[in-house]
Amino acid sequence: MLAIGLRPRSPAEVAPVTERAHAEFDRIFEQYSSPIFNYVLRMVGDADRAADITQDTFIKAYRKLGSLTDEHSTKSWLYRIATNTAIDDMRRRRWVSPVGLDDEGQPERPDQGPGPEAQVMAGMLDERIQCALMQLRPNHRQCIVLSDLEDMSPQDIGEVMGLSYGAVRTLLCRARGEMRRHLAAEGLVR
Amino acid sequence: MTLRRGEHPDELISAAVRGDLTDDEQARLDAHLATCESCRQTLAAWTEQRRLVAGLRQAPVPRDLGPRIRTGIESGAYAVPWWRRTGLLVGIGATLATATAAVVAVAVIGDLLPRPGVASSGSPGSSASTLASATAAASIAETTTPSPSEPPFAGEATPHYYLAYTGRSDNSTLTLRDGVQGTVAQELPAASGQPIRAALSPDGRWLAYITPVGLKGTNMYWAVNVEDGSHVELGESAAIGSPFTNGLFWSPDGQYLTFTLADPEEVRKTDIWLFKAVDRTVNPLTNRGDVVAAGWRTLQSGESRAWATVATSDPTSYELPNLEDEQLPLDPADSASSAPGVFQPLWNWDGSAAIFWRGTLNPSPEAGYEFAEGGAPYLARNAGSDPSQSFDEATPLFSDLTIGRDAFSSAAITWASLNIDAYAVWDARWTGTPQSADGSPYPDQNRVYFSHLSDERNILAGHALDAGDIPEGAFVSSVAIAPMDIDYLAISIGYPSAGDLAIPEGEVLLIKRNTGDVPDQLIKTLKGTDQGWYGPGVYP
Repeated sequence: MLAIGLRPRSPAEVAPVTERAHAEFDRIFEQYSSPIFNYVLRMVGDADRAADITQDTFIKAYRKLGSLTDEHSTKSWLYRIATNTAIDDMRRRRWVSPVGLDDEGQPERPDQGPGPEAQVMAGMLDERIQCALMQLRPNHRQCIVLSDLEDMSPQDIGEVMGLSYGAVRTLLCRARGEMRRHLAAEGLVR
Repeated sequence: MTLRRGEHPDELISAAVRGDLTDDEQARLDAHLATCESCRQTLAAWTEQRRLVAGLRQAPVPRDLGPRIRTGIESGAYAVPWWRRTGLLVGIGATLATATAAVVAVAVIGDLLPRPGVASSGSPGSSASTLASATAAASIAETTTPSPSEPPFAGEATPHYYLAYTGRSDNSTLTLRDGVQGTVAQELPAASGQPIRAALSPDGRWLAYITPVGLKGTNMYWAVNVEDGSHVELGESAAIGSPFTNGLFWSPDGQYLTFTLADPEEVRKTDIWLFKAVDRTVNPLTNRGDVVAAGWRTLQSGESRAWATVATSDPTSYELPNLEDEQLPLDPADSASSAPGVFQPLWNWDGSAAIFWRGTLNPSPEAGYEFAEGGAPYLARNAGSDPSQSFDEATPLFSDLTIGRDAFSSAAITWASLNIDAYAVWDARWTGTPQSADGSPYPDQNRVYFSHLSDERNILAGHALDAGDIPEGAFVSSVAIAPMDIDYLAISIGYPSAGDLAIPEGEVLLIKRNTGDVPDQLIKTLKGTDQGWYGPGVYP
């Protein structure tokens, strides 16, 4: 039984995916469901949308398992799928109103439930940081999140975003500059 | 490379935050930090913001995520990319013609998504072979400048399309070429001159362009549907030769195009016309005879509004009401929102900034609506909530020029599309003494000036692209900025014609703008093997 409860089915039903692939998908879901969900959450700022995009990401990953030839590239492969799925989602919404300006673009934290004062304070800080992130252009936001939250190297970010090493460094520099302005407006950095 | 963005090594500081510097880079940075308080503060601020982002709490994964994925996989109802969802592709049918349109449509809309590489958006054969009318005419001969350091993402920076006017002067053809592959995407109506200006709608579905009508002294305006090749004649205008009257302004949703036509019979009259993509209609938007089109402003609600300028000697610009609610033509002066003294505001993608002109205008279209006195472009920031205040607080676009007896008569200006804050100025016509420190021409009509909204200096002499970017003897015809963060520009250049009967020659240069001491980089030249005019290059 897979961790997500997917039943192995007849070859006709799931022809491209073998039992071994089921196990592989099980492992990928176990390892990456939380990081991917949180990455997408920071990208779109809304828990429901993040859940939908994460769901789409893993379904796409399941169907593309055959194209994953190198186990070591699983992480960047999965983040790339998540990135493209999130960008699709943001582009679709952009036709309604520009990304970053609409109400939906504002962060909506998942319900954390009641907690001690420290948790409330931490939540408020989180909201202010997330608010600054949401004011960034999407690719700036993506770069900052991958670098500073996911701790990816410029090479890994380049694999996810389809950019060269040099381009990532340039983009990250601009993103940091933009992020600093927004955080400074929040009084969080100088 | 002449631009110096200060001497602050921001990229090194950014990389240092995560410890991604080589020993040599670290040594250079350390040496700089020892003497630069500003950079020490930047390093401290960026280090702190990395700590803040890294400390964001992890949210719990929704409990139902696993079952939802299971259900999705087992039912086969996995998410369909938005651009393949019902309703977005119109008219995909069984006929060859419609199938052709569908293939092109997928290619076009697919191009709106990030392109992973130069050859990633379909093979040349897949698009060309389905274009029955275009296959034979395809001339694939894009010349790429060999460069071992060419960035792998150059494909994304390449214009989605460019125009090609080729053949002999008495038997010429005008085609739309795929920017990456160079293949013919659409045959266009016959033209008797090279395209002067072109603009792709933000949704990537329509291309508007202007071509001259031989020696008649008029220009034809066209809109072509890049999905099915159908075209609409937008109108004929007296050829004024001014950058102020050949603008093609798409609304942000790609539904409307506004443009200026000068009455060929009575040149002293100019008005704005409106093309509606949804029903392919063309109608006069104004009927005063002294109006020129300006840009569209995106409101904070997400709606957008067209702007118009009444071009008297002391011009005034107006924000027009929602065109769907109005009886056309309308008089801009009846609009509730006006900006006295403001000429032709061009808004950026989110309506937060505008570049516009002030000065005393020569209000004659025959004179090209040139500024007679004190003409200069200005940059208005923070225009989102109150445009009129932002106009009042606007700063000179060329911040190191003194505008007085010497001033601009005109210039061409463009913003980047989508969410990029870059802008460019070219064809800057300056009346008076050059104001460079070394006596070289400044402003220079043959240079392209490039800057970002985030650069509070606006434009300085040093913001000019390298002089070597433009070949000796060539002139800049138009400029488009790639909709990506790294600075790429598609510069359409032309060469002086050998005579009225010779086919003009031009090409599109894809140039990567570098900073510091790194020279700009010519990534590739877009042109075919046939002699002719290639350009402008366009992005959505």
